[in-house]
Amino acid sequence: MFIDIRRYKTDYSVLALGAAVYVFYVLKYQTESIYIIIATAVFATTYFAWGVWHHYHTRSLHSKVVLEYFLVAALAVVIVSTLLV
Amino acid sequence: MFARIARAVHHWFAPHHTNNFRARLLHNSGIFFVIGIVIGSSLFIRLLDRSSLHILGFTSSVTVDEVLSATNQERAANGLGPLSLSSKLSDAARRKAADMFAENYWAHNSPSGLTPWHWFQAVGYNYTYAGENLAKDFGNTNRLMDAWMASPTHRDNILNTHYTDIGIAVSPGSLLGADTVLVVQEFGTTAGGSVAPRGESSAAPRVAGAAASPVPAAATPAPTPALPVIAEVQQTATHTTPQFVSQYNTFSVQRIVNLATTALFILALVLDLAIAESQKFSRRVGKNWAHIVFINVILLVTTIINAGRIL
Repeated sequence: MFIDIRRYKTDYSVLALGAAVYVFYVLKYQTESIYIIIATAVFATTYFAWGVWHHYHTRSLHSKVVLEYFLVAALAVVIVSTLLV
Repeated sequence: MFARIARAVHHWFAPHHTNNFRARLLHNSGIFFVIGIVIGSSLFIRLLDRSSLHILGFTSSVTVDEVLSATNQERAANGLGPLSLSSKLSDAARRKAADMFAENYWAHNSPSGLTPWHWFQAVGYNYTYAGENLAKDFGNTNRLMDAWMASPTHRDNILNTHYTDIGIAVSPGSLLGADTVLVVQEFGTTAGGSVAPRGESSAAPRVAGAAASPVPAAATPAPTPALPVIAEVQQTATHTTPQFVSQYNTFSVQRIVNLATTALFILALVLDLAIAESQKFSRRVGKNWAHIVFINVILLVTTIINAGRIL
């Protein structure tokens, strides 16, 4: 089940680092709605870019995959912003 | 009936030949459907909140006793003595909250130009040091205190060694078009009657720790350390329906919906990943592990953020 993580340690480490920075930022500015929404949008965009980059260099990039990462990123923004707006 | 439900669950959550070997919920159309559910529920919840039925209001468990206790616990944890609850300062806090509702503002100074220190003088509290914390939209005292302690200026007020007294008001009302509960903390140290109240011009709110210029007492000799420290006013409010306090508010209901939706999405990702790997399906799709990490972080953030605001 962890084969993919073991195979692409560096890629997943970058993702984990981004996630840690995002969570740290949210903890620091937990009462600042605008900051959190902007941080979430940045993190979601980063995730989308990470997905495209990962699939590009693993030669598995496809328009459906690009759309999937876009939708998952959009879902994250929607989940956070419906709470804060 | 049960067989139909089981088939539907299998179709939406597990990879199978009927869903092109990818859980239906994880198809692009499935993710789009989830986004629609979240947005639709948000609109519905807001509609309920705005309806005349007041099905949802703002409920807050914050109380004066809890805020006092939590404040003194934070001070004790930092080796400081407890603050005494002053009836005068509590009165000042209540007056401040009432003025915010009456004048409809969310700021340290009122639109008519009243500073926070006006309320100290109005109740006859002659301070040498004074500070004010304000907040809104907090559902419970723990989250309120966490937010204040996470803010350096608010934290400085709570842990200020100069203060001996505190006044607290937890006031429900309607502010800027929304039902809310304001929490006001007034900190102070009296001059023991030897110092006249500072003029408003000299006692303008400053960043915590900054000193304001002393104003010589009119009739009585000024005490030795005549430098009042004016700590920053901080505000926090919480939504509460004045006529009817419901068990749930829009924020908590939306949080439950979002958490449930996110949890279901993660469940689909995990099941899809486990079955696809065990059956060695070959598919050209996004990485489930990456999605799981990403959505779990969003789940974590959803539990961290709160509706409360401080200024």
